Amino acid sequence: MKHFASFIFSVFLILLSHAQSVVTGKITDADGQPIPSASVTIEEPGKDAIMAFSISDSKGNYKVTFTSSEKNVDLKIKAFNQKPLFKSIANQTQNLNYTMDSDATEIKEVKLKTKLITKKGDTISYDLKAFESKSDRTLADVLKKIPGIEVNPDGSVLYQGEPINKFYVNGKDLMEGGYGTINNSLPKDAVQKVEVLENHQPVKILQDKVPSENAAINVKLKNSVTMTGRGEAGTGFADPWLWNLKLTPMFFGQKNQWVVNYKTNNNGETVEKEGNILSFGNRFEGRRGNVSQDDWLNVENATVPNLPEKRYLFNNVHFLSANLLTNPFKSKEWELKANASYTNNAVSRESFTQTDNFLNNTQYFTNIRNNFYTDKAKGELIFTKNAKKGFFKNVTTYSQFWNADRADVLRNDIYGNRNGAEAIESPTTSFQNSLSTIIPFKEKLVNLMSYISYQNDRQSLDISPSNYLKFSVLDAAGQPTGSFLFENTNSVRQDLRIRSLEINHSASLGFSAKKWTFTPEVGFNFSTNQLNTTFSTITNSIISSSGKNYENDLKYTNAIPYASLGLNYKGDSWLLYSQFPVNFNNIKANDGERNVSKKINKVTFEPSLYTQYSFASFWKASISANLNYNYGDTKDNYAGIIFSSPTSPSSNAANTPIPETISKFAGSKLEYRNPLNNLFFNVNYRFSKADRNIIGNTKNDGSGFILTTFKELKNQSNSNSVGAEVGKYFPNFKTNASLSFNNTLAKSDGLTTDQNNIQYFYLNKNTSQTASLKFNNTYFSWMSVDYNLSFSWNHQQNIFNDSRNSGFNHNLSTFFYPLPNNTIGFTWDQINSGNDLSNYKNAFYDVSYQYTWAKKKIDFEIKWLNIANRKVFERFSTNATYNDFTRMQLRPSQVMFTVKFNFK
Amino acid sequence: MMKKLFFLILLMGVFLSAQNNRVVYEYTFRPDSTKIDSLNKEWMYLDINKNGSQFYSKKAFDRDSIITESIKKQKAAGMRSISVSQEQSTGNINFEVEKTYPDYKIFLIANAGNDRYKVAEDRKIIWKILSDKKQLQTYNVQKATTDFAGRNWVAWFTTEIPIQDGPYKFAGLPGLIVEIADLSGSHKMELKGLFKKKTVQNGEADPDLKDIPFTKQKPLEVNRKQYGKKLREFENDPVQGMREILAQPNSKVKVNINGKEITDPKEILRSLEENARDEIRKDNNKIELLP
Repeated sequence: MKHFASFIFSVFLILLSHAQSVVTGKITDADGQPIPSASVTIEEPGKDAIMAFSISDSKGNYKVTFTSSEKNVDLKIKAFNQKPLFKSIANQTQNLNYTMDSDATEIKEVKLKTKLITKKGDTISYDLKAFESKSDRTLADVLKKIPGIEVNPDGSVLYQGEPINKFYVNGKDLMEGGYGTINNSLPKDAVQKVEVLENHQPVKILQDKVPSENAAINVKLKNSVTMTGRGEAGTGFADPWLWNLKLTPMFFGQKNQWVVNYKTNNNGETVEKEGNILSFGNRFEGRRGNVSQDDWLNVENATVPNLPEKRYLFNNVHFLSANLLTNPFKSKEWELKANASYTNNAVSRESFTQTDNFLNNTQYFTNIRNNFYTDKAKGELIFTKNAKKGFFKNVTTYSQFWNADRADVLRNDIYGNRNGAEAIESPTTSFQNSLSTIIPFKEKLVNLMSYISYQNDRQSLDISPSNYLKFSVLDAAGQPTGSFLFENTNSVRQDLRIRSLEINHSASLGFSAKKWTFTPEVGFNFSTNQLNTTFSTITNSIISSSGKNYENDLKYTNAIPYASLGLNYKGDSWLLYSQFPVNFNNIKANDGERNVSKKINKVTFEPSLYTQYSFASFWKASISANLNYNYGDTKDNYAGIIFSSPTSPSSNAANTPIPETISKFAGSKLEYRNPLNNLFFNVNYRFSKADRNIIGNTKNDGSGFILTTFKELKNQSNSNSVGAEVGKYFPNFKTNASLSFNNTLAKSDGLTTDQNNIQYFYLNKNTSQTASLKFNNTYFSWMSVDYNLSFSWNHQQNIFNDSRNSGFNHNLSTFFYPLPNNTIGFTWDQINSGNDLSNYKNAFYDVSYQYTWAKKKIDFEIKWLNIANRKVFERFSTNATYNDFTRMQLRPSQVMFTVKFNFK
Repeated sequence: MMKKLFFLILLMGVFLSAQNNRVVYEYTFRPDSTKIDSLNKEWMYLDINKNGSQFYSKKAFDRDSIITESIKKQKAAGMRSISVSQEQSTGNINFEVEKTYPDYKIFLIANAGNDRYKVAEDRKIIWKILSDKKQLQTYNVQKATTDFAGRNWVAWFTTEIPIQDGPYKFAGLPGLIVEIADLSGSHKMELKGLFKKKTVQNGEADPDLKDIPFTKQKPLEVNRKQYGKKLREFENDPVQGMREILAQPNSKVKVNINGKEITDPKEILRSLEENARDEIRKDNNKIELLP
């Protein structure tokens, strides 16, 4: 027993001698400053393996705990840029402070054995023969096999794991990034060679300034012409037979590349706008725009409902466009792109309106049937030089319109029932040239731009019979002497011609300092218009002019030299965008025959500013403000009466000054968005005010025919608007919901004259509120629900009218996904409007089914629009001096079957 | 006297420049544990300076700088529509790890859905030092093991480089980590290069990119619990961020999925959700099994 006890005791002793030792201490440098991040290691002598370690904290303190049977252990201290320390210390708990000497730590560099970045500017070329096999069909199939290249299912290409930045076909970038279709459908037999351009920067002047890590791929084709593209064909079961066809073939030749686009339908789809330029490109690439007619004359137009166009558009459209890209010269730096398009469209429309006029206490009815015919041809030539030493781009556009509008109007007013036939022929010729060039100037780039536009619009409006028109006849003093103008004539004709020339030149340069960017710019804008109009009556085919009060021969010029400074600041929490232009306005309007001789020379300062402040992670506040001067244009200076519409002739007196409008705007917004609890809200406030020196005086004799004259009288309009929105996402239900509310108070001055020639200068006050709810749910994988609901209220107040109306709008759309590649959709749109007395309800139901043949990339779709076969849309609205009830014609129920496919 | 001063300046110079080092690791990982051949490789940088380190993917960094550059150009040019092209491929690493010295606070910067978060790491890595030693590259390294976020890791560190850092969140050994791998063979990081760094900056979110979706945003600071919740929400409904973007007024999104261009928001969401589910399914072998 005794022995046993002593055995235990001895074991205990051994354990005790192997017990933990704790060494603590402080490490300082030669100056006595603590050294953090020094490693203190303990090794048993001769074993060269760390058994315990500690890393010193910010105060240089360390604590290392170890267990060893050795008498002494090796302590090593290493720290960056300090000479390592080696000490042999006793194996016991103790406190040891050390001072280290500074010494540059040389780290042994390790060279990478693999190349990280390939050499710049390398071009590697691959012959496809070496990689292709029999089963390969498309370029994508072969590309996949080339070393370093990966192709995603969408046709996008990765080189060395990184996306390529350009996909050229024969060195030309026709597709601008959307190359997936080409890659997936270009037959491999058409391809001769594939080149990989490493580290490719496409804008040459930026090539040594902005590096690129990405590669580009260039596909070289054989001589044969290649065709690819996508198409869509649809047929409809309705009366008349409906069609919808879209074909977009593409051709790639060795020298030229083409994309042709042909679209035609009569099922209510707008396709002609696809010829419009949607993105106007880089500012440095000059000014481009959609050319439109300068519409002065109009027939009476049927009202259109505030619905998607597909519900009411009765069309018959053919749209053809072609894009060509070619290198005109031997030098590849020059590129020529030519686009041409032709649109032929016939649109018909019909609406019925009942108007209650408070000013004259009258009621009138109009039924308008329209036919609009569009014939439009457009050609564009783009020359680009994309060279190392400079950038040059010239765009020349030529457009020609031969448009014609027809209206057949049935009218019932205080003068009884009448029929009017109205016709407009409006040919327009338009020419634009825009030139932009970037020239390097020391380290900076100077941008010079020039823009010239010339347009010639001719319009003639025929109205027959002439007694369709009913206006007060005015004597020399402006007093009405009767109400039948152009009596005893068969018809009337308004002729108009306007020639417009616009020239803009500017030079700008940009530089930055720290977080500021400065963009000074100087320029000169010049425009001149020549307006000639005549008005004639036709009796027994004899045309007689109505005299000089119905004519114009006006020359209007506007010359504005300007200097401007753009000032931007981008900080971490502050952002500022501002523009400070000074404009020297020189405006002249001359028409000797009608004693118009107006002139204005004025210097205006028109700053605009936007600033944003982000704070506390979730908040953002912003303020914007601007000040603008506007001196009108030709439309505000003609003195002879023009019938711009059969119902509303107007003129500006020769003695009124050039109109001046001063507009001020200020807005603020506060946003909160917290992704942690999925809550967001924002509140905003906007204020705008406009001061004018000229006001339009509308003379309405109670029949809906309005004669407008302009008068010098200071007047104002302003608007205050407050809005708030709050939304939340509920992750457990996969549901988004948001509520918003908006209140607007708008006040404006109006001037009107009633049938007794009494003038009213009045204030019109309009208060409107909208509240809306949005909801969407995707909780079930086989169904999604979207629901939008909005209410609106409107209160119109002035001396003639104190009325309210309201509207209600809701939209439900659900989609079901019963099986993969099958989609069933159902939508319900409800649009109601009305006042306290009556309410108009419009409901629409649509169903669609789509099946995708995934392997062949073909979609089949059946769509049944307007199931309830609603044929008219009804709406109620309130204005300053009248209420309108309108009934508009809609497309009846229709079923379309469509196939969408790829060309091979 | 002059000589002494000169020496001092020279020393200072060495001292300052020696503070910035870049370690290049090759990160090999298997995003899909069901597929042995799903091995991915990516170059990772560990940039070390006086106040801390940053660990990030070279590929993601290059992509971000190109996107930033292109957006800057588009904005400077006054373009009203900004186009951002973003290619998504599985296993692309878009996380970063930041560590501060000398207190060794560790932050993971990563996305969950549309937003970028900076997540403070609250789990301390406890190393167990073993006596095994070997030679890796030109370094003498010693073995250490740890359990972290659901995986067992084996690290090899060298005292020859007195930097107590390493790839990902791993740090705190008495020298640089030269190699670290998890026992299942799913994740491995090896030192392949080490040199002095010329440029010193990486990745502060650019104010130019504010409000533009798909670009690198200034991250939101959260704790691990909050981030975990966001991750689960994302996996439950991966297209919520896109839905939010599409709900913004005036935003038009066009996507190209499998060669089909889609502009209808409904279809975009549907296709993106399928894509995202597919990617989540394939990305089932994350570096942190217990995030």
